[in-house]
Amino acid sequence: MKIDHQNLDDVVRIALDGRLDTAGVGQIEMPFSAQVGVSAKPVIVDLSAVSFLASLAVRMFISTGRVLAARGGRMVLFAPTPEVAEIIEVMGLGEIIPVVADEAAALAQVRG
Amino acid sequence: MRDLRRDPDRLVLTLDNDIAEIAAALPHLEAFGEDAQLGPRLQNRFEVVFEELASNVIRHGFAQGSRQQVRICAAVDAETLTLTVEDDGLPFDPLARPAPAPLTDLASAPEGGLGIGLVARLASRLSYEAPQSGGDDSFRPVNRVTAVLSR
Repeated sequence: MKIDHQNLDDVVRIALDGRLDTAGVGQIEMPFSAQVGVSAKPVIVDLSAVSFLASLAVRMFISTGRVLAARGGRMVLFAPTPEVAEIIEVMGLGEIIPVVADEAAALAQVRG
Repeated sequence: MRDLRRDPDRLVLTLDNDIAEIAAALPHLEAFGEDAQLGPRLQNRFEVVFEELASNVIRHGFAQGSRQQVRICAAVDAETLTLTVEDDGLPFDPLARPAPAPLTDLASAPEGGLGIGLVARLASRLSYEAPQSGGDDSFRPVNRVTAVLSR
């Protein structure tokens, strides 16, 4: 499981790559939480290279999204694969953290 | 881990009490799904349900360092994929807790119980029993969870 962090002008872009299963979340939860936790900017998360997502990943997004929201920030997830999108939809994650089709839509969400 | 695959429509795996066994099982689930022509959507649901049920047992169901095991059985027919997860750990019914409420608000969203709630939504049928029989000389199941996924 890999994580890549980019500081854009007004947004932090984090790209995740791999399987967000128990082992994968175990590998990246701390750096992901740290990168979200210190961000003073909104965070957009690229899911296009995430091949699998289970409930521990949803829990990670909820807890980090909550930390960001408490500071007035916002997290948006984008570009899930169809299989990942189905799990996100079944869990209702999109009801509390926006999930959009692509990076342009994610940037529009946080800048809008 | 042992692969006790018996025929093209049935896969049986026995996992040791080690979270690394989840990843080690994946090639077997993938090969089984390919032979059964599950397709990407059902294959993903299969792997998610397996991940949730097996990891839950290994993380919570055994005394640490014990030599207990999880036995997985996947069976397909024309309409369903049935996944049975048995373990010989502590007696525990994961379905006894109420499912978490739907996510409506980030501030109050629960972080616990999400896994079994996800399985309950993906499966057309989900059940628990404490088996009174079954297994073999090396494995006597204490808990059995069965999830049926529609094709």
